[in-house]
Amino acid sequence: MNRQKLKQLVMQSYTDGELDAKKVNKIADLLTKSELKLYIRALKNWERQTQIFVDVPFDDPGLISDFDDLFPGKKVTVNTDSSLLLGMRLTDNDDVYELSLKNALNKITEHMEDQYN
Amino acid sequence: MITSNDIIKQLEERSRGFSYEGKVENTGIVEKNYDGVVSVSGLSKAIMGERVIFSNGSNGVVLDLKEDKVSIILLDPATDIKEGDTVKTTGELLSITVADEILGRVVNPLGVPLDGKAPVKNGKLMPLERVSAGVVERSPVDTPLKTGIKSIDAMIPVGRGQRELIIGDRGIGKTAIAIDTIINQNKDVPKGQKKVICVYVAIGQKQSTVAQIIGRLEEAGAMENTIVVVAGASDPASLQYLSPYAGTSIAEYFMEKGEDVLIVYDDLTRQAWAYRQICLVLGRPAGREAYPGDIFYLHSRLLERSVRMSEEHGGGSITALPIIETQAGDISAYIPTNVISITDGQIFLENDLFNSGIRPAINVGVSVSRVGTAAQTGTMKSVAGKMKLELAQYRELAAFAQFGSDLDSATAKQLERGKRFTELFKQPQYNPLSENMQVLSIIAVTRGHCDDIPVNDISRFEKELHEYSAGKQFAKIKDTLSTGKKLTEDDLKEVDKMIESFKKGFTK
Repeated sequence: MNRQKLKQLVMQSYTDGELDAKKVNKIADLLTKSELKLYIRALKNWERQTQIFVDVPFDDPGLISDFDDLFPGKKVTVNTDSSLLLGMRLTDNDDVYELSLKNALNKITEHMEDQYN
Repeated sequence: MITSNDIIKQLEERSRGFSYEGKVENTGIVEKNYDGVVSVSGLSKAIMGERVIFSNGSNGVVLDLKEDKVSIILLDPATDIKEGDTVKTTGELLSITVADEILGRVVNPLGVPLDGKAPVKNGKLMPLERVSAGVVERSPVDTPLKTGIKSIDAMIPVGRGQRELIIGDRGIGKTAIAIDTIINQNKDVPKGQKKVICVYVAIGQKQSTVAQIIGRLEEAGAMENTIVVVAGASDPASLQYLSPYAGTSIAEYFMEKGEDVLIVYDDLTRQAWAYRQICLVLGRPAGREAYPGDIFYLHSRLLERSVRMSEEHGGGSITALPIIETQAGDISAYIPTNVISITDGQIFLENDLFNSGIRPAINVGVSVSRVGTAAQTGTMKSVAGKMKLELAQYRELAAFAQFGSDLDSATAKQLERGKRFTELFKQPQYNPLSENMQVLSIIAVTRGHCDDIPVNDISRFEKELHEYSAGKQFAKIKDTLSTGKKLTEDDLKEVDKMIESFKKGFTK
């Protein structure tokens, strides 16, 4: 199975932007074991590429609409992680934007440790 | 007494250099971990040779970039890395921190101290992989690097900036030559010249062997001017593969400061084995003897970094003594032929010579130095030329003399002289000789003073002659032999006189 065919299969696994379980099962039945492995990997990659994960320390219902405007065509998922203290962590595919207070404090600790060593 | 205000002030002082900006990290997810090679999905912005950090704090280097995955070699023995762990890029190429304080230290290829002392801080970050100096920045090899070993300094001289391969079977004295050379850099320092800084890179060696070598260097007082980079037999293959590059980066740091550096790679065969192992696990196509296609480039890019820089570019140099181990004296194997073609000559050690008691077991017939002769001092040149000729004739005659017993007196004399040369080239380990003593020994044989000395007494004769020449009345002669200038007939006559006077008191 070449790359183009694999991409076609992935695209056809979605209905209205949502992963369609029926379609996925039907495709999976037709694939060999090695092809299935590639298919799952491609689905995972596609999911990662089309999603934005936002971690914030507290609930804010208005956040999703703000990020929808910032990242058009991507599905925004907001999670709560109180350990961040303030700010946010944004994950776009394999890029992670660390903008939290927790990260800033960690960096200060690292810097101080380096200084004292 | 320290007040709370002082403590706060100190903290403020230390945090002054800190600046924080929200950082973008490129991350990936571990898919497989097999034999120190980790396959990762994501990391779309990773670059070749970039250092990456795993979620458990382990380090790795990107060694393979594929369309949808990245292969990373682990730099720590991290067996706890599992599928699903995250990896992030650092934006840094793999580097080692080098400062002047690294002299006398034992470190691993990442600069982590192995001698129990504090890590080197606030030094210069030297990348492990670097493009070698261009043609314009280089200068020809014209200064000798004295090894202190008679047969090498006279017959196969090494110049600063040269790459001279030491090749031979296991256990016949390859490391001994390299260690003697390091010891000699701290012993035979001509007036007005700086000591040559030495880097010893131990690749895939037993820890006990490395400890022994370090002990020997300390004993000889050479350790304070030497850096030992160790990737032992129990270290990951990645570290064994990287250690020669790390050693070269350390050498380059000092070279950039205008220093002359000697680097010993002990040995490159093991580095090639480590690289072969990594490449087979990475799934790269295997070629001859299962080595990957770029095995030649592995060594050529390393040895090209040994260079003599022009005065405008600091005038420093890196002289490399790579070591290659052969199997049953086979120098036509894959790795030996590759490295022979890259280097500027080779010192070939032979099993038969070693077993017949000739140590160092250098086969001076097969050994060559392609650029070193230009760097030889005038003094050595004026005595070594005749010796080379006589030895070549001896080898020819010795081969023919095996077939017949009737020899004319001239042939017999030449054969006897050859035997004395062979005996002269024997030298105990860890006992490098200064150039003036080497020249004195060679004169004693080439000018016929040893012709009536029994072959078995040559070593004793030489030793006692050296002791005799230490007398105050011969200080002028010794100085003449140390100038580095070509010897005149008058100078040689003075030396003859001294040897003759010594012979009168020598008991056969």
